[in-house]
Amino acid sequence: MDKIVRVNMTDLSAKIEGLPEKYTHLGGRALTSQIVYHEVPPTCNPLGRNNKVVLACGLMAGLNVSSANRLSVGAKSPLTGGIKEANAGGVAAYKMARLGVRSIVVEGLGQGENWYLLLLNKEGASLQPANHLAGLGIYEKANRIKEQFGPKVGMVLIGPGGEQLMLSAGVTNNDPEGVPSRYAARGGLGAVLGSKKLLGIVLDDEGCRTEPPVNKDEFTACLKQYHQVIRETPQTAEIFPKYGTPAMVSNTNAIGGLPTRNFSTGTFEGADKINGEAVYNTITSRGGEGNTSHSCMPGCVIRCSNVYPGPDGKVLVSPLEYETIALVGSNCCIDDLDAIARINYLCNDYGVDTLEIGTALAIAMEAGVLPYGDAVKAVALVEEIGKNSVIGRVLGAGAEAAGKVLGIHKVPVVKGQAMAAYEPRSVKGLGVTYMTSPMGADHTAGNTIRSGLKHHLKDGQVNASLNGQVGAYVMDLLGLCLMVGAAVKDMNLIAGLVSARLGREIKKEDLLAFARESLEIEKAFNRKAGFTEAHDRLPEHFYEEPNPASGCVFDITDEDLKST
Amino acid sequence: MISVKVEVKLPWQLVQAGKVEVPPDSTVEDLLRHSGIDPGEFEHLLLVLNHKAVDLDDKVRDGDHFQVLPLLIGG
Repeated sequence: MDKIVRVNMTDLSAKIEGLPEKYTHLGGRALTSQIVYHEVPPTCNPLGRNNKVVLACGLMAGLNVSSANRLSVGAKSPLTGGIKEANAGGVAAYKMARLGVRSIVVEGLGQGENWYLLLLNKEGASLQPANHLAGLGIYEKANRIKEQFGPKVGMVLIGPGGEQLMLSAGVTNNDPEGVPSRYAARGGLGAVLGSKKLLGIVLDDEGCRTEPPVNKDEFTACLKQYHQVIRETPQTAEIFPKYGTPAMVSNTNAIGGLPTRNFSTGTFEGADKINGEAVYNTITSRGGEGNTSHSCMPGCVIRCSNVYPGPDGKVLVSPLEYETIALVGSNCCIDDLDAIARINYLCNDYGVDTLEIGTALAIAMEAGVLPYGDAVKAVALVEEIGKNSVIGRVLGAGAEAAGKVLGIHKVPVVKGQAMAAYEPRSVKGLGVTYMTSPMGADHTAGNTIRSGLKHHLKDGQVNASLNGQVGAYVMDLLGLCLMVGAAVKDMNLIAGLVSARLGREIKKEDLLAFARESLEIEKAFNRKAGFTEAHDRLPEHFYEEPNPASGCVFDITDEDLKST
Repeated sequence: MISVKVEVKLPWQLVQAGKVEVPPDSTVEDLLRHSGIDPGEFEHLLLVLNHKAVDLDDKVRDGDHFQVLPLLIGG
């Protein structure tokens, strides 16, 4: 039976409840947002006692479905002030499913100076003292936890950034090799866990197994089709396994959509030094511990992740992904993959979001704190986050705060969150998603880059975004990776898997309805938190200054949004 | 004839880069065929003319820069 684990950090209690009937068909983002909506006062202080951190696995977790073990983390965001969900690959969702836990809810507020870990195993849930881990970087924390609890445990962790309540702090978990760098990075959710004095969750699934699908034969038949489509689609069979997400650099650069020089343009002269081929060629030529194709979660057949080595063949960071390459690289005019990888590693170790930090770094460059393209000074500045210095804290507070402190007014954020790596004047559908998603500027909430539209024109972009937001939500509620969307275009196949898993008929239309209902709940939460239509805007300069690469301004109006 | 700079970067076939000569009023679809690419693969392709995404029936002009890339999503 699926369970909810509730941990109260005020009285240090942990209890296990049955999953309420109204939630049995929900997982991932749908479940985190439903619980946040029903249990968190929208006007509460995000770092106060009334906020809750909700973790959830998807409905397909733990069942050897490729790319279906994403972990969702939700709360009221201290970065945006609205409802938030961020998700990541890794092993945590897989192990939660094996433990029979659909969701973990962390409530209350940390008292005093003591830090804790939550241990989940076949015996139940308990809080463990963890002062010995406080202040350590993520990688050292993970090593100590493996020494204490065994090498095979799953770990959900926050870094020093979360402990210090930085608004860019994320929540990470480990990959199948135990590397703790699979981040639910966005929205400052690590700071919310930090406010509760919970450093992490240890998932020991030894002696446990996932409850099998109710209709096993039907499930197996659907699963065979699902994997076959993934193996036969060029993107998922050939491109992602070889080049991974860095392949996107060439695409966005080609259409003037690669954020460059603090989003002032959309093409980067150094793009060929940081694109998918460059990453692939560097990894293969250096050899050693490098790997061009790596699974970030159990059972993934796409294997789009990578292990990026330094010149000596030793790991510099894993993974090195498109969004980080663009926002730390082109957006800061840095064309040195090793420097980007080093900054990625530092952000992982401090437990902060590379997108937020990359954007804040570009703002520091715009302000003259360091020159654009100066990789050495960029690494040194990011190291200030780890030192908890004043400038480090400015960066760690995210792009919007950095802009305010440093006197820069062209700041690419929506609802306080830095844009992802798609320039919205050249990829207007993403611009609509940035504006209208309850999550703030977020590419995973409705990515239109595969829509087939002419991205620089406004025609069809609002519809594409809204359809994309619903489609992405279906994936998020099931715990599926968005990469699957390139292959599995028939949602009836996914509905078949869900039906067999639950033992009741779930149609494609039902999945879409769950997604729409949950999106509406998120918007309702934000309205109650004080958001209005005025918050559904890009920063002013995107409407007034053309992107030199495409010659376009962002011209989607309030009327365009309302007409759909 | 008009001259168009063509770059094809698809992992499942050889990289092509260079100028091609095609008749005036040629379309993107004509350029694809000229490059040995089946227009039926359109759903897997990002077609870019002068830094803008285009459709199969868009016309090309002398001096244009045409790029063919796989249709992807980032992460």
